[in-house]
Amino acid sequence: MADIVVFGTGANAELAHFYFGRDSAHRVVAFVVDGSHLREDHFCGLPVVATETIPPQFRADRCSAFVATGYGKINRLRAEKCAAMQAAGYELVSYINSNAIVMTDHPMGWNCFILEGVAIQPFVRIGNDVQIWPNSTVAHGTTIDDHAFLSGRVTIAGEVHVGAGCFLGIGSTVRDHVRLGRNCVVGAGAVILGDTEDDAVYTAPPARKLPTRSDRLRRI
Amino acid sequence: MAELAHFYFGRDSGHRVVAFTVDAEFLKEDRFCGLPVVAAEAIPPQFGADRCGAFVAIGYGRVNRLRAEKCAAMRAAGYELVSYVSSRAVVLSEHTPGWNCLILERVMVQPRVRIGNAVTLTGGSSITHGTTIEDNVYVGRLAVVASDATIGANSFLGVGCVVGDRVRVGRRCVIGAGAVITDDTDDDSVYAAPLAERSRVPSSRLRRF
Repeated sequence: MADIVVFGTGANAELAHFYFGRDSAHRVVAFVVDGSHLREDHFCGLPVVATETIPPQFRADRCSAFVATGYGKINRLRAEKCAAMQAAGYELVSYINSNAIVMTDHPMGWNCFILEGVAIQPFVRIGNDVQIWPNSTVAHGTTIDDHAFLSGRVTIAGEVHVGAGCFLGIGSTVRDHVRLGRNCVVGAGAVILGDTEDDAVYTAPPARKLPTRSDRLRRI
Repeated sequence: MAELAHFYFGRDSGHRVVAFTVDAEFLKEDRFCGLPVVAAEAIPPQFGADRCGAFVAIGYGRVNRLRAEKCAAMRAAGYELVSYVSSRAVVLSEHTPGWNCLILERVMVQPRVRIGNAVTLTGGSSITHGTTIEDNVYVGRLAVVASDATIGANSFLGVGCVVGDRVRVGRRCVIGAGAVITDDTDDDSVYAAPLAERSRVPSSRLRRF
């Protein structure tokens, strides 16, 4: 059980406050942002303080921290802020939802955020600062490197390697034994069947609009 | 759908199904799932709206209009419509779903999601934070809707489809199985996923299987 400060005041910070507050042994006590981004002095009913002037009661000797900045700059922003908070002495904590199923024995790294309905099979290795959103599946023997972001209902088959900093869009799928390079972006619904190079971007073929109105469909 | 509703309400809710009702022209049998079936035009007093709530268990027929019409009819007859949320769904939103919703197992509803009336979320579907699901929407199994999206009233989302963040799906749309929608859609539009290609190689010739 720790008191934690959350870095950020956006939608992800609001969600972190929600999940840590409802479903963890930790308690959020304040939000921190860089002084240049300090716009309000309260968020979710708690104080917001600048990283440059953190009051003693929220410092690293009293609090742990969680960085909740989303996938900006293909996860680089979050990686940078994790490094900054660690440099300031904070221990970064992870969150695993009580409705996730985590079967692996390998310990998860710091600043991970594993949400409801996620299933992580045996022998999976999860690095630091990995974000996995609701109903995603990570099959056996897969490795997910640091700072990766898996959106909702992403499916990663067995023995896959997801490179550091990858972003996998909502509903995307990676087949077994595939190796994704570093900092790849896999768009919503995309299906990856072969290895990818670093920094590669993939999108799914868009749905086709049919030349009919929905009320003309016979079987629905 | 009625059989499913009977199953879920019976096994996993604070409610108890006591009878089925259909329009008289569809009255073919007098019992279903071991319970009486009565015509909507001649409901016996023990099943009247002063004694019972109701649930309209109709799928996506006529792009969800049929369910919407029967909900309106039951409400006009004085029934309060109840919703079902599986004990194995995770509904984290502070906004309570409306009436006559059916929310099945492994559905994930994140904070700040708004769910209207007569919405069906079938098993394993995920609705991400800040999204609005309007009235009479049907969401197929394992469909996923990203954050801050809107699904217009009466729309149908097929099994496994994907709706991107901040997208507005219009009213009465049909999004086919596995379709990926990343831009807004017009009302009444129909989308289909690209079809899988059949390989000329038979499965017995695949090298890596």
